[in-house]
Formats: sequence, structure tokens, C-alpha cells
Amino acid sequence: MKAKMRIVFFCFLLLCRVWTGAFAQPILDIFGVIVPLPYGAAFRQKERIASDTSTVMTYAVDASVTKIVEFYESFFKDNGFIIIGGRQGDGFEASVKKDDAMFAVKIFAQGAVTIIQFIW
Amino acid sequence: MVGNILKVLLFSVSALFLSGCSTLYNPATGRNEIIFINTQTEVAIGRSAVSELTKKHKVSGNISLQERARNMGRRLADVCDRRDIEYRFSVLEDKELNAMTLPGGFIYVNEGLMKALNDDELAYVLGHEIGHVAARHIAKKLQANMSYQMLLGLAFAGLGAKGATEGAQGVAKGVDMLYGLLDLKFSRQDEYEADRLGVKYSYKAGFSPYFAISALEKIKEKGTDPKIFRYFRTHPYAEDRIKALKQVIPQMSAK
Repeated sequence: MKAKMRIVFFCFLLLCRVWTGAFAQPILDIFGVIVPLPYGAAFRQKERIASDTSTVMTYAVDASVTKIVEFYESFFKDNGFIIIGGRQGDGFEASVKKDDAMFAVKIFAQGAVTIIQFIW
Repeated sequence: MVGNILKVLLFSVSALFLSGCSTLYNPATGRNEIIFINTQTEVAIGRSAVSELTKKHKVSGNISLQERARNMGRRLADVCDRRDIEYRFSVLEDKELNAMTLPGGFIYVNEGLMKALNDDELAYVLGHEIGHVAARHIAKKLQANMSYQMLLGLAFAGLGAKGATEGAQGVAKGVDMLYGLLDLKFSRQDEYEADRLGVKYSYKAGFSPYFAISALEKIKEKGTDPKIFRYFRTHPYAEDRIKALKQVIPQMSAK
């Protein structure tokens, strides 16, 4: 009986974890600065550039470029980031800095999806 | 329900098969290229480099040479393939026959080169330097050889913000590395491309493209001083480039 109870409890915990994970805001930690990812953002690839010293993280999201650009514009503005660049046509290209963390963000449409790239 | 499944499937398939890198069509090269350094960041990196350059090199006080470089440069920049940056032309007080381009469209020509070349020849040299910017050769060189953190450190220092975590020391190190890279020769392909663009822009701006050959030959002939060959160290393959120019210019003029 006890064993069964344990299994049920374990399944309950697992379900809770899956449930909360599905609804948690995905994030990216870049040098200690937490950057949110839009809901539904799917990790696409991680590349290493510049003789393996730099990283490019790419995500795809099923939402309009405008919405994603607005999301990040307000995030950077509200959180006191220093920004070089901004909107480029329909997309967004900027280098941002907060405390000691510096990285670049690129947002652009690719087919039916919006691509978000973080480079550091 | 079926529609939702199809939507999810379509999204997953496109996420899997479409390339993850952002490519940019470059009208100067006619190719789709992967450029991670955006224009404003490139300009900010350039500003950092300019502030270091002007500490080490004296800007020429010769007003007429400065005006000549500026006026001719603007004419060429107006017809070039890349207009998202403001090109700035300046003359350095240096007898060496050389010209250099910093990231972000900051173009420097030495007094020695300004005095040695006539307007048509100078148009090719300035057009060649603009060509390196338009084709984003410098941005590509930087992103391939320097860590992104160092580049961003330089960019934010150029903006006046404290650059990298190492502060001024980190910025100075970054600028040194940047100069080291700029002092290295461009690839043969980049040189040919900048030459092609140089004659294209000089022709479009109303200069004679044939003087591109005489400009290179003049620089080569005056090369008794080993210092003068510095131009060919940073802009090598002179003989091959002259040969290539002899083929490119008639095609350009015929268009």
C-alpha cells in the first residue's frame, strides 16, 4: 500500500513539475542578467563564432515580429539597459548593456516564424 | 483540432529546417551574408578606435587637403552601395603613402598619398576604402577574429559608457587588437572586391576609372622607401590587382 502511495505521490509531483514548467516564463541567463523569452519560444540552435569565443543562441517563436520587438523594447527600457541600435525596418538589431553584461539582440521574420538571436 | 496540429507541425518543421542564422543581402557584394555586428554597433566601435587613433596620429592641419578629401569622399559615398552609415573622411599628417578605414565608415588618408595622386586616382583610392566598408569586409574581419564581448566593450566605450568589465584597460587592449587586425592584409577576394567597387564608385561619381591603374602603379613606382610599401602590406597583390583592374574597367565603362 505504502509503495503504491509513494508511486501516486511521485506521479503527482511529476505532473506538477510538468504543469508548472509548461506555464513558466522561459528565461536566458547572460552573465547574470536574466532575459525573458516569449512564451512558446523554441530553442533552435547554439553556435560558437569568432574562434569559439562567442556564442549565438537562436530561438524561434510563432508570433509576429512587431509583438516580439515591442516585448524586448519595453523590457530593455524598463530594466535600465543601455542600448545601441534599435528597430531596423520590421525587425530589431541592438547591442545592450546592463551592469557588466553586454550582448546583442537580433529579431527578424523568417517564413512564418520570428527569430530571436542573442549574441555574446 | 486538426488545424492546430497542422499549425504546430508546420511551425516545428520550419523551425527545424530553416536556417538559424540571419542573413543579410549585401548589395555591394551581391551575396547573402551573415553579419552579427549591427551598423550602430560598428559605428560605436569605430568611434572608440578614432579616439585612440587621434591620440597616436596627428590630424593634418592642411585645410585644403582636408576639404579635398571630404568633398571627393562625399561624392563617392553618395553613389556607393551602403548608405546606412555616415562616411567621414580625414587626412592624417603622415608622409607615408597609405590610407585606412576604421569600422563604421571612418576613412583616413595620409598627406603623402593625397599629394601624390591626382583627383581621379584619389577617387579610386577613396572608392576602394568605401568599398571595404560597403562590402562589410571590416565587420566580417572583426566578428571572425575578436570575441563579441571585446567588440561590445569597444562599442559601449565609444558611446561613453564604461566598456568592459576590465574598464579602460580592456578597451585599450581591444583597440590594440583592432588595430592589429586592420594592419593585417585583407583576403585576396576582399581586395579584388574593393577594387571593383572602387572603380565602380569613382565611375558613378564622374571620375575616370582608368586612373585606378595609374594610382596603383604610382604607389608602386614611388616604392623606393620601404615604408611606402606599407600600402601593399595592408592592400597586397598589386600586380594581380592591376591585371584584374585592366579587365574590370572596360566592362564598367561600357555599362
